[in-house]
Amino acid sequence: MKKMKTHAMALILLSVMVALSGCGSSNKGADKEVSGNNVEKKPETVETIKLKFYAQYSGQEKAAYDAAKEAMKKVMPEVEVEFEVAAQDDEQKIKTYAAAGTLPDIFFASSGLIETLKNSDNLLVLDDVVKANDIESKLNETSKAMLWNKDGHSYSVPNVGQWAAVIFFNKEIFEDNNIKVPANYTELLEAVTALKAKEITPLTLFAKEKWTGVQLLDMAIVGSDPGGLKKLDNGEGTFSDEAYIQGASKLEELVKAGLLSKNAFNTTYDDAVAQFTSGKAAMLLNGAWSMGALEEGLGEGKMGMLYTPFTDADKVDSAQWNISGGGFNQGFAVSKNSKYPEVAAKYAALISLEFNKQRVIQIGDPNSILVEEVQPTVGFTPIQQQYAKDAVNFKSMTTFAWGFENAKFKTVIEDNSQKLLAGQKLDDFIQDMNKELERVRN
Amino acid sequence: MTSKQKYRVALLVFTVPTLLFFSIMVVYPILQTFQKSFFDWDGLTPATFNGLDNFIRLFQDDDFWVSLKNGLIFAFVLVVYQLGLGTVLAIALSNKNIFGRKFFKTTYFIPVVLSSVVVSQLFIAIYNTDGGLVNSLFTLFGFNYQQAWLSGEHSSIWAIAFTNAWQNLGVHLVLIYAAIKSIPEHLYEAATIDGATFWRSHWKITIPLLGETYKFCLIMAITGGLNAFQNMFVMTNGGPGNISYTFTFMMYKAAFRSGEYGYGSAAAAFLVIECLLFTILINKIVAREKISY
Repeated sequence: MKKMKTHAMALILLSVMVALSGCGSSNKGADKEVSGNNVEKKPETVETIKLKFYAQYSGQEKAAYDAAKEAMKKVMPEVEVEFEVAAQDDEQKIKTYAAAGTLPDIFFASSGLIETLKNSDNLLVLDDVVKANDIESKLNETSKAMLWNKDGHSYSVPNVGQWAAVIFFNKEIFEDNNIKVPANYTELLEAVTALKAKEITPLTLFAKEKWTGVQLLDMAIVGSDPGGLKKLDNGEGTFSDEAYIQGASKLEELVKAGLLSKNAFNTTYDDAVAQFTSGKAAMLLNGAWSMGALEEGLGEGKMGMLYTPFTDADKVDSAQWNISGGGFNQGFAVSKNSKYPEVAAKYAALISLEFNKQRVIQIGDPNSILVEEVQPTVGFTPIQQQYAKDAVNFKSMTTFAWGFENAKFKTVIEDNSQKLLAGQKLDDFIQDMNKELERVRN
Repeated sequence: MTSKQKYRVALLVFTVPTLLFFSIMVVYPILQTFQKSFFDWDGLTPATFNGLDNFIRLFQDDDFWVSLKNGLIFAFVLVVYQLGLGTVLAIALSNKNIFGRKFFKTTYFIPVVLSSVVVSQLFIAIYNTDGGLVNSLFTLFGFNYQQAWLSGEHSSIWAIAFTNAWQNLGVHLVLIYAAIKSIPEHLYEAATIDGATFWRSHWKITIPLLGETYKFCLIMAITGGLNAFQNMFVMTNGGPGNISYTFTFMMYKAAFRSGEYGYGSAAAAFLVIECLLFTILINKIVAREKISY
């Protein structure tokens, strides 16, 4: 009996070991399972090629993705796409996929992610597919830059236009309180002081997302140097340069005047929108992509946009179209380890353009990347029309924080810009940033 | 095979699966973290050995000192609140003359079963500068003391630590309460006959006999404080800047935001050593002699 017990225990031990070894190889197993059907059927003879597509397949974008997928069935009927909703996680999940060698066939890649995956040899070069499908000629002038990396190759095909970072304002608050809508820095400071005196939050910033602080700083810099923070990310200049000192100094002054709520660092996007649309805050910073949703909340015709309110009065004419925001060489990219690299590359290139077209049609995106004129189903609102008209004048753009190529710089500027907005002294900020710049560039 | 040998074999058969599982899930990752802390590694490309560079940088990094200080503050708050208040409440609840003891026991334990995210959101509202409960109470009592509790350089970590302390008070309360209930009643009867007051008998009997429980609670509270992450992730995202960083947050920033897995591993390795040191220290100092009754 005792012998039997010992044997039974040994059996349990063995089964646990087998179970654990099973856990260890689960990823590989899953990987094989996904491609298993295709292995059995041989790629040459398959009728359906399944591609995994990691994208922002949620919210209002879902309709555009679905419509683009339907349209693509006519062009590449052999391809069946399975969407995986991208996580809002600083690209951690997609990087983990890359580390594990399980990148989806197609995925959205920002400039920063492209650099990371390029260095680790995970990205497929799309030069041939871009040329073969004449992609560049289908893109308008401002969007062509997004197709090419600084090394001369294409790693992604743009799917959305370059959005500006914008300060939206509530027209009624400014009118009702007899405050001039700021056209330059002096007027902005006056407006902030006046709004604060009337117990209205001048600017609601959802600074729990650290990029918003970075964008505010970038907006304060582009009035003096169109390169903004992107220039520092590229390895040029330091925070001791005049434009950066001026930008940071303006923010320091505005913060002292009461630009932000004390809760700004715990404020989420939804909180900020609620404050803005309820009239508790006069201005809100975000990318121009949110204009439709914000206008809907505030009421048509009640919202305006400011691009460069931090610019000195004497520089407004020359710098008013130096825009903060944008982003380069980003869009749908393809994994080098895809089972069907050629098919995935062609599909990624074509659906990028189709997706942009559907964004215009389905959700009224006024920022098309296409030469082809596309009209939305419901027409553009006045503010969307205004943006489309302004966008033609944009002289230069920087990037949003996720477009920084140096991840270390991105982290450093995100944390330090928050410190500045929380009341850090200008000299300490400049000193800390210069010290960090030296480190992240090595 | 003698019966002693058979006993040893049975012992092995029972313990080896667990030890194996523990080794694979805990020990191996820890060893790998220590190994990676000597490398410059972005998580994707091959790692390059850089000796002690990560540790040298660690001690020169402002984030490190902020994280160390915050971790200690966090642990301090947990110890004082959870063990201090936990003991007082447990003593009160163990008194049969207290009315509604069952209700209070359940009530104190409810926050434990709530999600950290829910509790964090609740406290974000409580700490809100405009109209939050804390600031409103100050106004109500006539104090003009309006604070940005979660954004203030000196208040943020205390506010977050209190959130965690409040939520997990129930765990320590239950542990201490159970330990108190296991103390034989005749010890208190003898103390009463000798003329000891209620508080004196608890001071002289209950507290010393809770040594083993306190040891466990202390280790849980201190390592929990040093390891804290969830609350600051939800409430402040480590900010503004780095003012609410702890080592886990620093590790998260280095590895997942900056792509410096080697440096993040160095921060993690330091945290493991720190927790280990505290555990050894507590084991050496608290309840050195096992009391049996």
